Amino acid sequence: MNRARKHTGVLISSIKEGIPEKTKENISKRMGRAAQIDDALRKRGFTNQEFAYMMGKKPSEISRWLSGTHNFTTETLWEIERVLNIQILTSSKPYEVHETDLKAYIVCEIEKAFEKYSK
Amino acid sequence: MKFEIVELSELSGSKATIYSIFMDDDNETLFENFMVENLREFPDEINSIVETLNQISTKFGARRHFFKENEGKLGDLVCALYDSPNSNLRLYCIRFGTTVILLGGGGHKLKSIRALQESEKLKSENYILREVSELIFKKMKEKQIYWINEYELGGDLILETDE
Repeated sequence: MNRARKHTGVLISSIKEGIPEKTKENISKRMGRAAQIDDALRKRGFTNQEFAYMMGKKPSEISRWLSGTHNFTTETLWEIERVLNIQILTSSKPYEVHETDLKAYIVCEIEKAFEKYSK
Repeated sequence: MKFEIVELSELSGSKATIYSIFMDDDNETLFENFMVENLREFPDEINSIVETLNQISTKFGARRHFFKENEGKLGDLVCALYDSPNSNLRLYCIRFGTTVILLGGGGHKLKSIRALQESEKLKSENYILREVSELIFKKMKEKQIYWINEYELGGDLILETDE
């Protein structure tokens, strides 16, 4: 069984050691947020396109949100929380997800978005 | 041309293994060359890229949405680490699911260009990875490269073109 040779690069090590803690924390938070939103989308069976429609955004903007590089505004996070019925901000109250109500909620949101954007 | 796939020990973690490539007789991998070429001009972005890779390999895995897909030929898995519109650098890689990334090179992404073919540097780095991808898939078909487990490639990891 032939594994890849392990390569140790001095440059990578020195860059890693020199990254400020704040930078690491910010990157971790942005990526974590993106992963959380993506997980919620997959759990609810939404595509990026469907989510974009519900949020009134272009799919390319959703891709940017999920990239792990985006800095969200608080208002956008509130809207995402509302649309996906999840808690992202620690200051928000945790949502109690009732599965029987979730389908009705999703249908209602899609109908509202359709009505808004088909005018 | 000769390519050797090696594991980058400092960047690999429990969620993903990160490889790069030695090309011909170079002393540095394609990824290290990318860092050397851009570190002086864009130190913060290089830091950001290294930390993003670290987070991918240790915490999140190589999730699809962290990458810009379809940067190569159809189905060759060549992609780019997602760079925001106001970032200056593009790094090309091959993503094998959420557990393995093979880092190539990249370069400065000028705001004036819309397609990678408009930048000689980006085109060159991208096309190297397309070639590497083709060679890997060929060797996988011939069972000369295979999966040791879901996180590791194994076999004959030295690739050569006919040229």
